[in-house]
Amino acid sequence: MQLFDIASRHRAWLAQSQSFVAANISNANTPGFAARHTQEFSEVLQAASSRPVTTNPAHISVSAALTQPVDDTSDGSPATHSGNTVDVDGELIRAGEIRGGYALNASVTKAFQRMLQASTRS
Amino acid sequence: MVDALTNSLKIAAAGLAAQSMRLQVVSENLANVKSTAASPGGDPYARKTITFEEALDDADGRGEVRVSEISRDKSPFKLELDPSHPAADERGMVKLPNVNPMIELADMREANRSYQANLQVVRQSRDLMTMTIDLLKVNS
Repeated sequence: MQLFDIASRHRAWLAQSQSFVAANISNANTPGFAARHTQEFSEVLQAASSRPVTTNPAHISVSAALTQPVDDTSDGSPATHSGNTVDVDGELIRAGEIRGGYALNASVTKAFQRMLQASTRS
Repeated sequence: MVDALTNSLKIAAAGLAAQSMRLQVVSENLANVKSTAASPGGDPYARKTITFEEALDDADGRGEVRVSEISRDKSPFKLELDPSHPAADERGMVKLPNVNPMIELADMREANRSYQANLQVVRQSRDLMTMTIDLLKVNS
């Protein structure tokens, strides 16, 4: 059932990215605001696979740290006089990518679930 | 911890509210482009400006936008010679508001564009939620 696990992780990551895109767009006119994005999914997955096992509920979870935002330093040059680094067009493109990824994720989950159902139905 | 998609809906809603407040300020400025003082030599309507700031909600860890303050533009007023005007001073000069309609219209376009971008986020967040719910459909 590892596929369901990966799919659910991917979906959580996409939802988190969507939330960052929303924050960036809504702060597109806030002076001094620095755009934030999630890490690449491959990095998140790698960090998740190499994390320590939690055998006790009191153990500190590291999953919360996986979706920590990284400040956008792609070009490093503030586009506006106010020190705001949000690029609305870029954010909308990102939103389109998230949408595509989410649709793919939902389809794969659906297909796998149907496979599972076909094998369990007698 | 609220679901990230619900969070993005709330963030976008805050963005919509902030941009509509900006449109309100623009419309106030445009409506008062010729509002002079009631008494001779008095100051006319001063242009309003709006600034935003990021508001962090610690409970949900979301960075919304909110209106930081609405202040007055301190640039000098325009002077016009019109001795018959009720607000004219002893030299016959009338102080007119420091509103430039061109700047206000440009600001309006900008607010419009930001509003549209926020609406797009609302639309997309809703679509993503629908996609998840559609997984439960029996035949699709």
